[in-house]
Amino acid sequence: VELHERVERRVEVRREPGEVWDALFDDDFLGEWLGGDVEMERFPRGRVRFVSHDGRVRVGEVHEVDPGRRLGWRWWEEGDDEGETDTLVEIELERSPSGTLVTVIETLQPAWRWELIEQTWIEPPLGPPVALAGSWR
Amino acid sequence: MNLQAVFSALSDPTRRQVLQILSTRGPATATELAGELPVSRQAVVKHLDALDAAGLLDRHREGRQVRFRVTPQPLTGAVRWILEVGSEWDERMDRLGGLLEERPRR
Repeated sequence: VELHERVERRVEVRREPGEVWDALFDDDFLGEWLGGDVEMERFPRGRVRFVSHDGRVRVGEVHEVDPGRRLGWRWWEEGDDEGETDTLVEIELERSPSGTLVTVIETLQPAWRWELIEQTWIEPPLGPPVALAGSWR
Repeated sequence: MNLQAVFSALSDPTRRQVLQILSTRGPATATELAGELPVSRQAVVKHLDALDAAGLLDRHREGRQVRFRVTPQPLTGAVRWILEVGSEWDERMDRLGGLLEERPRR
């Protein structure tokens, strides 16, 4: 096992990116895919709540919505005050010859990064906060 | 244990070398480690501090010397995180195609 603070997976599906995107905007579909019940407000800083089939609860907020291309959210285990389980999930869609290439990256998030993004949101100096947040990689 | 501190400590190649030396040769002082690495003793001390903060080292005083020893528990936590999160996404990626097929086409 290589020790990186991120997990990345890819899969190609036989559906157009627009159809995959629509599915990601459906709580029932997203819940079934993730393995639990999902409530997600799909706009920056929108609320996220996920209860897995085994009863674990993750809460968080939407980080990025780039229509048709990328959906990102940050989540952590409910009651985790230390930020130990704080991760960023990014789902990227790219058109591929047979449909859509779906890439998922889940990254442990150092607290300083979020402090910086919080500041950006309060007073965005360079345009919409979504674009700024999206440039963080 | 703070996993972020563990990964941050492991992100540096010199710190990984320090861990490798300590785990293969056993406890050592900062001076002994500096003798094996292409960096100064001061630099080694900073790296040891970062590894210590991540819980990856124990320090034992022997007279005027401080010897460092690897404590592997945080590594276990880091490996467990990667395995758990990775296996969750493996399962999700496996079922994504099937779930999309069940949806009516546009």
